[in-house]
Order: sequence, then structure tokens, then C-alpha cells
Amino acid sequence: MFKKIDRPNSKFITIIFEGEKKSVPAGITVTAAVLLIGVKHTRVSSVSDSPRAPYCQMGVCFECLMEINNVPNQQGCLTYIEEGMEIRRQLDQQKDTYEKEL
Amino acid sequence: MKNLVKTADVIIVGAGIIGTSVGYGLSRKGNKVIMIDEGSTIHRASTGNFGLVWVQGKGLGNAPYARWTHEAARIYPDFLSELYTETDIDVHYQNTGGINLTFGENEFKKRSEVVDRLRSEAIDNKYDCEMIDHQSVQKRVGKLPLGEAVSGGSFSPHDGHLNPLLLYKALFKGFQQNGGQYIPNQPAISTKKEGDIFIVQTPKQSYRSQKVVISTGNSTPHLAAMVGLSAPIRPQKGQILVTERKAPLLKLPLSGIRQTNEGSFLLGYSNEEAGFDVKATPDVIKKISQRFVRVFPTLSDIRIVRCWAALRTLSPDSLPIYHASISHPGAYVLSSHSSVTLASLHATRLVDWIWDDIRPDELEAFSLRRFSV
Amino acid sequence: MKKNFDCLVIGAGPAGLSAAITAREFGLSVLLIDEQNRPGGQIYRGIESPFFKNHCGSDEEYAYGETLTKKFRASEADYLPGVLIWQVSQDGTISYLENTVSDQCSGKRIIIASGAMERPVPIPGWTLPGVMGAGAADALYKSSDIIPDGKVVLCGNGPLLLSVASKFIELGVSIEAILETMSYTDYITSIRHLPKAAKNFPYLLKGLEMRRQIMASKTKVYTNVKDILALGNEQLEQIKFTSRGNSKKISVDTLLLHDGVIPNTQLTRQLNCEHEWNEVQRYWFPKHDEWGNTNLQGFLVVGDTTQVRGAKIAMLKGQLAGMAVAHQLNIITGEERKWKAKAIHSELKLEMSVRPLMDHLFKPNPEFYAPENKETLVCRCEEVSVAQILDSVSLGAIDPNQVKSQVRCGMGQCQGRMCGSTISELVAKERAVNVSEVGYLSVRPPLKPISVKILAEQTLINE
Repeated sequence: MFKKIDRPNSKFITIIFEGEKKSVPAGITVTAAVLLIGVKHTRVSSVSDSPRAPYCQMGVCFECLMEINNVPNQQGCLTYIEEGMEIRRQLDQQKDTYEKEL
Repeated sequence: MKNLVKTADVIIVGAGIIGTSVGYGLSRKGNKVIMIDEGSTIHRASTGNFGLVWVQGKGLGNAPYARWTHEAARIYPDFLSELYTETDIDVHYQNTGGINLTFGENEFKKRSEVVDRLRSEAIDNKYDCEMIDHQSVQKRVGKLPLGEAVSGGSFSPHDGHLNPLLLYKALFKGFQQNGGQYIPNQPAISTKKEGDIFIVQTPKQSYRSQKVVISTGNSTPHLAAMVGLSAPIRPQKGQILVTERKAPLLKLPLSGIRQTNEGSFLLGYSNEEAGFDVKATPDVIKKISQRFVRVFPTLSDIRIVRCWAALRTLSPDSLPIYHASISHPGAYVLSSHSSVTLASLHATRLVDWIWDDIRPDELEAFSLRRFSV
Repeated sequence: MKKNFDCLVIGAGPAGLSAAITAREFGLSVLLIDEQNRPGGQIYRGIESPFFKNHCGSDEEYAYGETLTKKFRASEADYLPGVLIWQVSQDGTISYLENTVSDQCSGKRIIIASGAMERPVPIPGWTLPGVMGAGAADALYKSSDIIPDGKVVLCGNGPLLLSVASKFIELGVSIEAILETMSYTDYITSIRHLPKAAKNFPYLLKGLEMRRQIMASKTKVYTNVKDILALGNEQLEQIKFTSRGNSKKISVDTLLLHDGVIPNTQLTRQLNCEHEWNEVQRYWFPKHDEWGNTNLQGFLVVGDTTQVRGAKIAMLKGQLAGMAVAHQLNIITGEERKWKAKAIHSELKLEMSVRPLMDHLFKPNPEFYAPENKETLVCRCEEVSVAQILDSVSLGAIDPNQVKSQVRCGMGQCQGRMCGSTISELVAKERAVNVSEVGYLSVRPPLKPISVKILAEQTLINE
């Protein structure tokens, strides 16, 4: 659970999270945006399917990997949001990826 | 800790996959075995291989090797089922058959000639390997679209793959369960024969036995010299790329591409004469990646998680070395670069040879004598 | 873009920025490559963000980062932000990924300033959503101006934990409790370093001020905390622990763990530099001399990637490395270097005086670095537990790589970053030998996972 600190003259932009438009503060990281939206987990473990969320915020834990603007496996904590950015979690990565592509 | 045994029927120097296979086989028969290992991890070939149980293409111009390999594959399922019963470790062996891919018409033709030759060298000209075209390769591969560059390949029903790290672990566990004693992290400083007894000296201890097996991979030359043998073995570097896990997509192993039981793809490989260097290099990474993208263009987004290199243990003709020392009777030197495929024979037929003097016919082709001609 | 430089600098934290500035001052061609899109590393994260003006007021040290960054921008060093270095060769060539294109460049000298990371804190349940590093929460604040909401608990030890706690209290974060794991023994035994540390009085004062703030806020502080468990179904719901032997349970939304900071040696390991083990603070670091030279010709290391000493020292060491490179490339003589370095050496001496106290006061916690609870996951990516690792050792595995080949710890996408230290500690403990004897996981390229397509299309420097 996270919240943005209230600042005067805060700018907001629109991103698209899993198909839905969301208004979030400008200038923040993708992971921060996703946490602000209230998302509880950003990926699932490839071994047990258990839900995972970002741990380190600096690119070493790999729990924040998401699909950003259709490019898979981007570290959300190292990427800053932009207007219209499309963000998706990769929750069914392990399931029959090939079937999806067909 | 258990009491340290210092005397055994057989001492095995080198606990790689050959040593462990032989150790497992010997200990199962009730022999007292001590297995000593210097502890090096970086140059251990046994944890750096592709995991193939591969038959096709081997032994061109050397019928004994072709027969030896086929025999290994033939008895593999029984070997593994016994190993599983004893250790409860499933090595995920799949006898799916395998394909050696060809790119373009020329390669297809060349491979076809190789297969024909192997057939002509086989007993009764029986050689279970056939050339198949692009469509047939696609059919065997499954739904994963095959790149156009693949012209076809040679298919053998005897080929397969398994998890080599689990095989290694299972052999090791089987060895220990059958009473085998493992001495890790101790190099063998000397091996002498006094009368009928061998004495192997490590920094901490000396061990005595009736027989000694030297299976030390790329360290073999200097160990073999201790028992009067000149073993011309050299390291050869091979690089492999490992991908992230995916759902099962590839139904059978191909030359240089297979999907493991955990879901990662292994991409290989190179053959580099680089001494003991085991660094992965961008140029080879590039070549191996390019090949993979040519074979499976729809998988080009799959991520490589690590690139590593391992050292093959090669004799000058790339065939195994199984040699009994004449100057030091009871000492054996064993070396091969296909020790996953040959593990079944190493744990059975070689053990019969080493302990009971039952020598397989093929073995003359693998003695060191062939190098002194 | 130019491909060959006099000096490549890897990492845009205080050490890297400083090294780049200094090298430029000597007229060398410099390329600074950094994975983040903005300069500052971790400690100066957010320096060029829109939130900097809101953050810098309370912390003059943080504000100093702005000065450093401006100097860097003015230095005319080439700069590649947002770029991932995925492989470094001993001949000075590096492979890097910019967006979706992989290319190479080279440096006559390479200064590695890849910084540090929080020591992973494996407790039962640490993979539950809601558990993160305290430094991670700090990074979220610096980079994105967000703070934890709901019930927050901080747990562990270390200057960073104190700093985050006092900062968050000031920002109005509602902290349910602070769980201190520092042992009284460490308090007592570190006193002998106090006289030396007193030379750097302002630094000590800062620490005391943080403690005062925490006490004044009346935040519940538990001391002598042990046996911490994070519990919940699909996310963190509560934590259990003991404090001075008494069992406690708290409902929690966000658990911020911290047990110190350790060098991030991923790059130096891939390069095959020699590493040494710091027994007091329990981390590996690349072996280096006073100028930052490693055992590999042409490679220097600076900043928290060598020893964790903070921003000031990182900066000073960065300057020394810049000078060393200028000397090695024959821009200045040994005498000139000695003379220029004099002032830096005195400043370093002063800054270093507080370090022995810090290292001994904030010693790592055995409950975290060598967890005993067998179910605790050590390798998050491959979900390998303490039990599996210990079993592997009892079966004869002698080092982390042998364990890895048996149980797959370290084979996942984080490539051993989160589990490497713990594996070494557990193997050493089980074998009853020192960690330095056991070694560390092998690190291989690519330094982060990269698609096979990008690798197939990469440009090599000699093409």
C-alpha cells in the first residue's frame, strides 16, 4: 500500500494498465505507478505460481518484471512512466505461451 | 562423521560422471570403493554438458564405437530404472528419438552420406537412422514453427535426453547408499604400487586398494603418468546458452537445441581449442543465438538467462579411452567425452571388466595402444 | 557513437560521477554508462527528478548530489543512461544493450562503480507481497515521491534503517513498530571504536539525532528481536517475532526489512576479478589497492562496490581512481598524482575514522545471513529452501556451484543476486569452515537476461 505525497501543482498523466486507463502522477517509475494503483502483486513465481511483488526497487530482485509498451520483461523499477504507456503484468507467462501466439 | 575407511577393493580417483558411474556399479556389486576428488568445480566437465543420450552419427569409421554407443542406449532404460529404484531420483530421461538438423541442400546431402556410410559399416547394414525432410522434422518437433532455413535432418529413434545434473546426483547417491566412501576436496598427489597393493596419497591421508581407476577428466595426463601411462587428453571448450523456463514446446532434442524437463531451452555449442579457458564470449554467443533464431524464429523473444562454457575431455580421435595399465596391473585409465550416453555401460560392462576381467570385445579399439602406432 | 575511449566508467552514483569528472579534468575521453535513466545511483536517486526540490531541503548531503551531477553534466563526458552492460571482457571490451540493440565499446581503462545493494534478508515468508527492503521504500520515495500507507513495520538493523525510520516519521508515515535486531553484545564490543569515530563528530551527531527523532515520535520500538516470521495467504497480513524472549504478533501491510548494505559484485564476478571476504560486515568485495586497481590489468573499482562506506568516501575514491587512470595513461607523472591526491587522502582519513565503529555496531544478524529455519526460501527465483541447500552439502557438495548444480539455487532470473551471499554462508556453516574458503556462485554473462534475438543481432566491436 502506497500513496503519493501531496504537492502543490502536481502533474498527472494517463497510463493504460492492463487495458484500463489510469491517472497517475507524472515522473514516477512504472513500479511506483502500479503500487499506487493498488496492485498487490506484479508477477507470479515460475516455480509455484505464488504471487510476488517488488522487493528491492533497484533492479536486483526481478520481481517487478512487466510488459511495457508490448516489450516483455522490463524492470518496472528502472523505467519511468510516460503518457499513454501500456503496462501489463506477465501472470500467465508459464502457461502455454505458444498457444497464445497462435 | 562416519569412520574413515582407508582400505578398499578399488580406489577411484576423480568423481566426475565416469568415476561416479563406475563407483556406483562397483559398490552395487558389494565391493568396497573409495572415491577421491580434488574438488575443482570450474573445470568439471560433468556439470557442463548438454544432457543428450545420443547415438546417431557416432563411430563413423569406427564400428566398435558405433556398436558401443548403440549398446549404451539399448540398456539405458534398465540402467535408469534400477538407479531410480535405489535412489528415488528421477532423471527425466526421455527416449524421444533425436534429430540432427541440416540447413540447406548441401548439408542435407552431406549428412545423408554420413548416414549411408554408417549403415554400410554396421553389422548386417542395420543402422536405425533415416534422413527426413523439413515437413517431417516439423511434424516430429510439434506445433513450434520450424524456420525455413532448416532443410531437414537425420532422425534416430535411439536418441534421447535427460537431466545430466540429476543423473550425476543419482549416481552419487547410489554410490554412497551402497557403502561407497567419498573423499571430497583432496587431490591425489601420488599413486604407487607396492607389491599387489596400490597406495594413493592425498594431502591428508593415504589409501590402499587392490585396484585403482583413474577417471580425472582433463587432469588425466598427469594422473595416468603415475601408473606408467601416457594419456593424450586435451580440453576443448564448448559454450552453451540457457534460456528462461517456458511451458513444454519442443517434443524432442535436436542437434544443439533441447528443452529441459524444467522448461529451459539449452542452445549449443561451439568447439574451441582454448586450453582451460571457460569464459563465455559475445562472438560465440552471437553465433549460437543466430542459429536458434533460424530454427525457431517464433521463439526469438525468449530470454537467455546465462551463457557458460565447459571443457570436453578429448582424445586425439575423440573416442573413449579405456585402458588397463600393463606396467601397473590393476590400474585403469578411463576417459570419454560422451559419458552421459555411456553411463549405462560404465556402470555395468566396464565394472565387469575392471573387477571380473570380463573384457567387452569393443574395448581393444579404445585402448591407449592405438596412439602409439 | 564513438567506440573507443580512454576511460569507461560504469555506474552513475557518487563514485562513478566523481571518477568521470576527474578523468575529464585530465582531458581523457570518458564514457559513463549507467543502467538507470537518471544519474545519482542509489544514494542520490532522484537528483534530477521533478521531486528533487521537495526532497533536498532536509538533507544537505543529498543536496550535494545535485552539485556533483551538475559538475558531471558540465564535464562533457559522454553519457549513456538507461543502458545495460551485459558482458565485460578482460581485454576492455564491453557489450551493452540500449533499448533493443546490443553493441560494444571499449576503454583503455575501465572504472567499475556498480555500487551496492541491500543485504537480502531471508525470513520465512519474505517472498510475500508486502515485504520489501527498507532501502527499497527509500528508493520509491526518492525516485517517485511515494510513501507506504497502511500499517508499516520496519525491522532489522543498520544506519539506513534508522535513516528511513526517521525520515518516514517526519513525512507522517504511520509506523506500527520498529523491530530492532541489534544485539547488545555488538553495542558493547563496538565501544572500543568510539574514540576513533569521535574524530568525525558531525557524523555521529547525525546518527544520534535520528535516534532522538524516533524516540520523540513515541513510535513503538521493540529491541532484541528474533525469530521473525512474515505470514499471510497471498500477501503479507501479519508478522510474528520475539522481543527479549516475549512472543509478539502484529497485523501488518508493509514490512520493511534491512540488515545492512553489501557490495554488488555481479559485474566484478563476471569479469573474474579476485574477491576478498570482509569478516566483520560479512560481504565479498573485489580486491583492490588504494587507487582502486583490481588484480586485472586496466580495471579499477570504486565506491560501495568495493567497501560499503557511503557517498563521501565513494566520491573521494572516485577522484583517486580518475587520477590513477590519468597516471596510467601517462597524462600525469607519479609525483603529480601523489601531490594532487594529498588533500583527498587527508579527507579520506577523516571520513574513514567513523567506519570501524559503524562496521562493528551494525554487524550482520546470523538469523538473517545464515537462516536456521529449514523452510525459509533462500533462492526466491527457483524457490530453493535452506533444507535443500543443507541436504546438498551433506551429500558432499563443497561449494555454492556444486550446490547450485544439484538444487538449482542461483539459476533463476536474478542470477544469484538475492541468494548468493546466503548460499555461501550456509555452505560454510554446514561444512564448519570460513566463508572465504567456500567461495561464491559463478557469475556468467549476460549480466541480466536478454532475448536471443537481441543476442543474434548484436554488433561486435571488430565488425
